[in-house]
Amino acid sequence: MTLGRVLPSGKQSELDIGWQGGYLREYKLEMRNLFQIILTGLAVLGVQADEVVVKEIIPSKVESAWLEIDWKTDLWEARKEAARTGKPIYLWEMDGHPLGCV
Amino acid sequence: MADRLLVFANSEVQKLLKENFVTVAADDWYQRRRKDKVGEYFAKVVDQSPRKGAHTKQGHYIFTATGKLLGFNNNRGPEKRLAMMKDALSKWDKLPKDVRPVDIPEHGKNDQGFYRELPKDGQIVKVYTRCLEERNGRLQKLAENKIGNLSAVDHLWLQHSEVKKLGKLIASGGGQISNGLSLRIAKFHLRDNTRGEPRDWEKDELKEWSLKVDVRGKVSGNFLISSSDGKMGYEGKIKGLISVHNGRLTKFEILVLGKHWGHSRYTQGARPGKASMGQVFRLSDGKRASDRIPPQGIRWAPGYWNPET
Repeated sequence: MTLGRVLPSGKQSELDIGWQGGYLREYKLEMRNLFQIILTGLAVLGVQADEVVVKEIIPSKVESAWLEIDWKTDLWEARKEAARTGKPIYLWEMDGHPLGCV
Repeated sequence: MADRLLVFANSEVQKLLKENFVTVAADDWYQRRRKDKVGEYFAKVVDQSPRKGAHTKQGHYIFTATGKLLGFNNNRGPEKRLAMMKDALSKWDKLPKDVRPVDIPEHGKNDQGFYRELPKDGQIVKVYTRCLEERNGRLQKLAENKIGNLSAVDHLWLQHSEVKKLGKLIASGGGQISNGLSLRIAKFHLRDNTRGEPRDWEKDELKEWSLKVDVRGKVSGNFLISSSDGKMGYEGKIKGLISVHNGRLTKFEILVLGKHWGHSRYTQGARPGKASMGQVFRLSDGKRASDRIPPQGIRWAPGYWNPET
């Protein structure tokens, strides 16, 4: 679609379109297409805006660094592994699970 | 929250933990109440610590597989924690070698009153919540020195039957999402957990509530939740996309944007007035242990699974 077809050359004003017969129908069609393109563009922009805010909300890599530690969630399993590997247990105990909830 | 960033993201702490310890994390609300072998073992460790006799057992403990306490600390800050870990390792090295490898039997039945697990074929959705503020014409996370600037994590659990029902709803043209799932999201997951443990919403605090899905899986909704005195609340809009294939969620991606206000007993320090907050619900494969943490709201399990009650 070109702007030239929406606004035909030689046209003096918007009111001139009427007497040019087929131009009016074509003008309406083109305007509808243009409107749809604008709507699609706005939808794309909306999705992009959503993606930007989603990135703001989810934890960053720096915030997730503590998950590089191999946290277990079952004390008895940790006990068994400690016995098997000959290591002591480090327990992080919180009201509200330390790995989730808050 | 501060421990995650200040202590466990510290490279020296991470190195020491990875090389010398078996690391485990637990919710004290459950663990201190358990009347089973796990609870007995934990109580044995606690009774050697300053937490003996105290209501809360929160803190950081180092101990052996036999239950001998080697260290306890409840301070934030990597220096004190490192000192505690090094001191415990020194005690560990002095222990007779025969206390280290021991046979650990199976622990038998879990105390079902204080133990939660995902139902068979259930699915997990991670719920991220963060306080936002408008800067440069768009919503952004708070500046780093502000309280509540970190992203809080919770988990939404769905039963297999609920996912199948959701799939049928989408396939039949869409409509309001069933009360069981919809109210669970509203009462237990639309809340500000960025500064601690928030209380659950009561059903009559949901002043406006709508959550729909259409035939393409497009989700839309709006809500106004407010305490009876109006001092605490949350209002906003919900949008996203859900896909169900062969009775399994293949996509659950929801964005919630709104304004929250006020605080509950354990979430003091909210920003004054109505302030922006955002939430992202995202399907998890549950592969990491941290993905399988029970939802905060499931402490009262019947209420979580049947939120209309």
